[in-house]
Amino acid sequence: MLFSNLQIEPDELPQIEEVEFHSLEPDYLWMRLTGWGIFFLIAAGILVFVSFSASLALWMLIAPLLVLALLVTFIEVRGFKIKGYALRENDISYKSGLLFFSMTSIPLNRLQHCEVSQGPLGRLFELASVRIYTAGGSTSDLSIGGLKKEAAHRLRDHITRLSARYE
Amino acid sequence: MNEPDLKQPKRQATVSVVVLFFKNLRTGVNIFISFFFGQYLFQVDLSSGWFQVIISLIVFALLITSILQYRRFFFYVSGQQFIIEKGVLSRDKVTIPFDRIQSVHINQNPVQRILGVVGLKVDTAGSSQKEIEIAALEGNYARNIQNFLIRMKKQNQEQEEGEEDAEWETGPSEPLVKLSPADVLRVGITENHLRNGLALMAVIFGYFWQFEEYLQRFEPIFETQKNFVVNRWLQILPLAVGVFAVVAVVLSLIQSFLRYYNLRFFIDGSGAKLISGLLRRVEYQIPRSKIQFIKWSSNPLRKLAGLRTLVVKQAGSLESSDRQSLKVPGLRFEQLQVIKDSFLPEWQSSEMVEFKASTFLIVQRSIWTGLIPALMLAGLGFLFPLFWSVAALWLLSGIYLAWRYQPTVKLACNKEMILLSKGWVFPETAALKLFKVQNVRLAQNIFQRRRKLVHLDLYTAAGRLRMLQMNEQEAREVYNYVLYRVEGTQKDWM
Repeated sequence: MLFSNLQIEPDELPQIEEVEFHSLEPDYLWMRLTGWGIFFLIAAGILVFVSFSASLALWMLIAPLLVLALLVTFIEVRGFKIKGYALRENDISYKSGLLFFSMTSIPLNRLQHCEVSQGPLGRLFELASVRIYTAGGSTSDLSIGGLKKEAAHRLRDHITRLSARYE
Repeated sequence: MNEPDLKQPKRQATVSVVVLFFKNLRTGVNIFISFFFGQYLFQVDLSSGWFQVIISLIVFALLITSILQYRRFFFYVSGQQFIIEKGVLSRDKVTIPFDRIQSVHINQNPVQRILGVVGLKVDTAGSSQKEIEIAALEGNYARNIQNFLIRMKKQNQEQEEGEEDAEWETGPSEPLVKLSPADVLRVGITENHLRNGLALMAVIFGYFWQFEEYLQRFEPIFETQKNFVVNRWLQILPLAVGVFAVVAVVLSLIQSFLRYYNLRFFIDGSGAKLISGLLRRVEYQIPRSKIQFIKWSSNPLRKLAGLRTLVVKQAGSLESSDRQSLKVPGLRFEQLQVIKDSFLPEWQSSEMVEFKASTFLIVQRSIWTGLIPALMLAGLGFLFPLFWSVAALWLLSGIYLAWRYQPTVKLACNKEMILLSKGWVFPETAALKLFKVQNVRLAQNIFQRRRKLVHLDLYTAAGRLRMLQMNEQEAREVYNYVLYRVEGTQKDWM
């Protein structure tokens, strides 16, 4: 009852914990793993080059990379279940992170603008992300990846409509 | 109040050619130094005819550019927008709707002061390309435009209850803070000398890198000097520390006089206003409704002198940019109290609930600022045995500082506002009204999960404020409450 002396019952406050978070498209996991795969392939290529020019045994360089790749895969797979977003009447929330968990909520009356973005991998997997910006910073405050393209557009339109009430 | 006629496109004062010329010249010289000097300075004969011809041509080109910049620069008002047209090669048109204006301020650099004109700058919350600067205007005219723009901005924003921005007084009211030369001296002496000295060293080393090739010629001299330095380091080290200290203090003093000379800080219902500077006079004002949060801090020397530094933050694209905030050093306790009462009447509106950081913060901080650097120093110990004791000393003081730091980390909150304080050596407190928050975030790493601890971040348009190592349950209650407060407000926050 921390807020009881503020004459507000904490139990009466809308609580973010009780909200059902939507999970992301399963394809998004594959998309992220593909992205990592490309990264590790390029890294391996550089290491092969290094091993030739520095005459070091290849496995000494590749083994740590493999361990790292396995670790990343484990974290991505386990962490995927944690990722999710929730849209309430007055705010939007996103959570993610296995090792570094974080949960962010942006009240819609503080929203500056909102956009759908799709990278080259996104086009391949037909997935898009919705980015939400508030004032001040130059990077997006919240980015919800792994949405079907139509769903992303619908979500953006919905958010824009909800936040337009405050104009 | 005089209404400036801005219906027709207006040019700046004619002398702006000179102001623009000096500005271009400075940019030119900077480019020149970095491109030209670094490579060829010591091979080019400065008195050769060709060199002089090239220099004259460049200066002439800069002059023509300045004249064109002046000829093609117009500002005017159309509808509800302030418009600037400029550009030498391409025509640029920058449009700022009145309600997007964050603040309008007037400054004066030495060139402008000699010519008797001032520069006018309009800040918007958006990106830096949308910033407008008019190089030279006659002083009263600039002030008229400043007042006009701020008035128009207010008309364009429906202000909500209580948050009404009063008219700016044209005649200055009584300043709350006024620094006499003795005060500026006090501020200069109590600056963070270590930081200033290190910043200076970084600049010097930066220049050394640039001229590295040139310096290699002196290598034989360095070689003979090296033996001398190595043999006598015990005598030289205290001397070097002494020289560093003196230079750092002198530098702080010069900086303080340049920045804070004749500083006057005004505060009333309409907002905050700061006038200061020795060579470059800056006049900076932030309307009350644009203030995102205020922060006051101190350091060991300032604490002894009973002084605090106040920073008034407004929305900006850069988190810690000094340009976007208003800084008053040398604030006395009573003056701080006046500011609190004036800015934050909410302080008294309801009781504060206080949350402390967990003692796990001591462990975390000891590891990051004590153990890890100490291990690196210990690594050097294999080369120079002296570093073993340095490492041990570092570790012990790291743990001690972490132990003193933890109790100072606090979040206090009432119905309307939040106070975040932290720091033992460098205490600082930030105060913000809850409805200014734009984004709330909980962050928890695997070490915190088992202990049910989180960091709580509050993002405002002027940057992030963080509460460290807070009990998860309490943090979630604050999280939900802040969201509830922000979502329930109709007030405009920037």
